[in-house]
Amino acid sequence: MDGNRRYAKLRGHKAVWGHWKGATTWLNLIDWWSYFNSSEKQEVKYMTLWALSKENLQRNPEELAGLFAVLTVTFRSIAFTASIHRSQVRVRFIGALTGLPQHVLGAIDMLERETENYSRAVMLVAVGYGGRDEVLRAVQDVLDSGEDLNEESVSRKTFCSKLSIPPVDLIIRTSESRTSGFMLWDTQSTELHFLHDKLWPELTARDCIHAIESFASRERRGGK
Amino acid sequence: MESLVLISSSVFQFLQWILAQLRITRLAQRSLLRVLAAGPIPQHVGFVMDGNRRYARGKGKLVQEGHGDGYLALRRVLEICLRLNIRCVSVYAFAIDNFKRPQQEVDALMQLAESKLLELCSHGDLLQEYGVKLNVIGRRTLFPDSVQAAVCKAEDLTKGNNRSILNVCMPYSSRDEMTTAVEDCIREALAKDVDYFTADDPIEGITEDTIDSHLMSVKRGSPPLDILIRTSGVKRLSDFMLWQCCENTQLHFSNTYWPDFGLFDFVPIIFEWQKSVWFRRQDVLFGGSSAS
Repeated sequence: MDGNRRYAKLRGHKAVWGHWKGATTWLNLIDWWSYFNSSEKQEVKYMTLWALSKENLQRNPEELAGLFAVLTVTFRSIAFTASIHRSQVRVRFIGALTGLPQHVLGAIDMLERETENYSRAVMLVAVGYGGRDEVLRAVQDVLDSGEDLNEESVSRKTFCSKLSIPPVDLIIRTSESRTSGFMLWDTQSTELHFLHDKLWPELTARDCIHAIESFASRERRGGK
Repeated sequence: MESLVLISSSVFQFLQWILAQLRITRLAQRSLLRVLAAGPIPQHVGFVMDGNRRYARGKGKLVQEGHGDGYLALRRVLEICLRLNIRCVSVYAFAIDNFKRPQQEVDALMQLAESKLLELCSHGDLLQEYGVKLNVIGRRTLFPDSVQAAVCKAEDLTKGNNRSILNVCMPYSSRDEMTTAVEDCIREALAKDVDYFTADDPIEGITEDTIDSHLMSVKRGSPPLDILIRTSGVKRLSDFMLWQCCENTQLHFSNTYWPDFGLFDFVPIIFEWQKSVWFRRQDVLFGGSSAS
């Protein structure tokens, strides 16, 4: 979810305003997703949103405080969003949840608890996530469990595999043509869709539909 | 008298201009490269050379000929990069998954690799001319013996060069590279820590940077990846340099097939990159306002 601060700057506001706008887009996205799943023949069963990266935690404390406030309020709002309960979406958090203040952790806990009985769809929220960090943790888990270190064993210990979620198929990124290490290990055969001239708060339902159509039309050969 | 001289000199200039027109394309290309080289230049560019087979099918040629044309495109693009003083170029030549392709095609690719590697590294050819060191990165034990021998010989021929680096990734898989790097880290950690069986956690010294420094490409001197270009319109990473594609690597997906890729496809990509570098500098100078 990239481009909030740039969006704010372009309109002459502070960065935090951009993050609030971004949060609104996130809530809209949940609604679009819910509608898509109920109306189209195929379902998008898993959706992951990258809310906060490990590198973001190095920003200046003032901005971080604003960002944490936005996150807490957003998580709480999601817990009371009708779409989540109607579509029975389970929300889970991945990433290193370290360095977060108590109120954010409390909101995370509450959201997970509120939705833990649902199983029709899963929304993963990556907070404090770093791609290389994920690989490092997976490696350490493999070593701790005494297994042989090879590609398969590491693939079994990524955040997604540990939650029994299949690896990501399509990544949509706004405002930049980079992956920044998102889902690094799992992106082996992931299709990428960049919207480099749109910022996150400008995302529309149509962009998402285009991304999915583009994915449907791609030929995935797997090396052959 | 003077007017005669003037007229004849202007006619002469006109003739020179006509002659110059014939050479204008090469000159225009060189000027373009010089304009680009005036701005910031990426240190490390990666290419996923995709689309050889589709190109061949489109032109009614054999798939092997498509790969041959792909090799010519590689030479072309490599020369452009070296002219621009790009310090390191990585190309995805063959994936470990590609062994699943029909045996005939794999055999043809092996033959191509064997002959062309030696050609690139021979005296007077491209790599020697620009002082480029060749690194072949990947699990080469999967290759037939003749190819392995050619690889060793080619690396040997260029090992004294130090102006630039060419990483040919074959047979390569990024996960394989990462797993190998981790194994090396552990082996090193174990070798250093004599009392492994009594120490609590000898592996705790392994961090992201340790793994980074043990990657095959980084061990042989490659700087961090700045731009990754994938041709033929496919928008995937396909297990190429996943670890290196972090934070600042710009991904570009070009719709041309690899054998058709040339200067006029490459130049806009470099311009885009220069623009993004400029924006990043602006942000750093005027107080971070770009999103991560």
